[in-house]
Amino acid sequence: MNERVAASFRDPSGFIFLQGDTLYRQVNKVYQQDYDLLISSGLYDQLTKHNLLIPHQEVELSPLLPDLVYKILQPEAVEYISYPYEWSFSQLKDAALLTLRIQKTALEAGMVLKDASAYNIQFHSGRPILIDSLSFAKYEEGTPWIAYRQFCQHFLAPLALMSKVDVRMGSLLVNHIDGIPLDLCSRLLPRSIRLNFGLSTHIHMQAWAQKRYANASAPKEQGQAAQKPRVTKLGLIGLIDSLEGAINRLSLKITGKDWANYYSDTNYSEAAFDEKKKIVADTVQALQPKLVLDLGANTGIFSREAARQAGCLVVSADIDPEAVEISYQQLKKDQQANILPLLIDLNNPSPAIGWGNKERDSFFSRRQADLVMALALIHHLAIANNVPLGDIARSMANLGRFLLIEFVPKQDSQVQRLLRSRDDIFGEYTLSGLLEAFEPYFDLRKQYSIPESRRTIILFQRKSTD
Amino acid sequence: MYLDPGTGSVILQVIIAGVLGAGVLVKVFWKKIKSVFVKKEDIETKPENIEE
Repeated sequence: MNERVAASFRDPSGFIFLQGDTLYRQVNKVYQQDYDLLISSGLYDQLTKHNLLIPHQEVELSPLLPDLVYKILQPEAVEYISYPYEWSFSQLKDAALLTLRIQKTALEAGMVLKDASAYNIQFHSGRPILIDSLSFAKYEEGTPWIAYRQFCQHFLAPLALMSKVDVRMGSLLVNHIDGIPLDLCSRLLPRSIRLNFGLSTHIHMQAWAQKRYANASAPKEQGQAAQKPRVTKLGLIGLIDSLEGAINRLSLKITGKDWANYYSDTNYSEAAFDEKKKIVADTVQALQPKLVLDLGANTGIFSREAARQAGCLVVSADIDPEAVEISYQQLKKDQQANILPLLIDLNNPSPAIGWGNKERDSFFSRRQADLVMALALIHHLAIANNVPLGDIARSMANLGRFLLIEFVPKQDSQVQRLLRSRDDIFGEYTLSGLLEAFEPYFDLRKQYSIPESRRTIILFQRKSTD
Repeated sequence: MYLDPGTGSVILQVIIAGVLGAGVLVKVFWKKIKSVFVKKEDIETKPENIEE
């Protein structure tokens, strides 16, 4: 079955479609000249050589829309799709800087980015990369940057808000699929920003200009021919430099706890911690998973353990933006490519958004994992959010085939902390209650008691549905 | 082009491009000046190093 991917409709240059499990990109005839220029100018080679653009192969394949087709491309597959509202501050910042670097490189080759959507960037082998090979257009001397507004809405505005107001502001991107409106960003930023030249220009002044010219009438016919707006190439380079500078100067202060001690509030002795690591290592070695979902991963200690398994990608999801940030920075430092840290609140995971609710997939409708890890997580779902154990079991079964889950009993101080200020209405919250609730969905494969703690880790296998 | 660049956003670009473009020139110029000095320093310090 061939099907156009639902998100791929805005740009008439082409679209992506699925044939079986393989993703292809149709290049339309209207884009022929620009596509040929991308290749002949050497820009494609240069960008792919430096891992800035996803490489593709031209393939012979029956096109989805034969009347329009120029070429069919098969891009290198991205292992796991994620979205800007799931990225930490530095992930979004790196995606922004990548976009500007590509724009600069393109300009040198006589082309420009005709769009600058954050959704055109994905994390691939640990680094951001542009996945839309049809984002380039021939540069006409004197033309302004068409994607300037989009770049500011998708990147500069959320980064400025995360840095200057609150890191949780990134979640505004869920509500605004084309980036944060600049007038909104302008109102939310603190007054002190007015001294910041980059942000004042690209956010405040642009918001003002948008409002000022919102109702400007379209240029009348020839008699009153409007002068075409002109921006010199030097001016364009200045604009890109200025955006780059503004983004480079934004940073995120980690306020929660100190980096090194981020794990200090766990309830583990060293022996217990090592045992837990060993269980993870043994499990991935036995199961050889291709995709691991580590839920409640914190800064990713156990994700790293799982990622030792060659050929495996670990999606390391946590609710805490600072933990995800620390995790990403650590991975960058270590140049570890097979872990993808993501900001996910399991009690309210990313929804499906966009046209027909089909442009961006919900967290639960993405690629299924071979192994789901839920370590020191269940009390946050069952007690902090009152989710019945049976509902937790069903959701976990929807995420992957195997489940490595840790049960944290009521006697544990972490659970006591959650119960401190509320009634204990959780009669079923016992190890036997958990085993009973998970039984309809999973077969028990292994059960480990963690030494020097009251916790238990269980390996479940999803019951086959046929 | 399929994106709407936004009238206000285009006009702003036209307004600020002159200043930002000049900024690029200043930067390039400054780098050149700096490179001259850096080279000079290198030449001046080398003989001293040899003497020591």
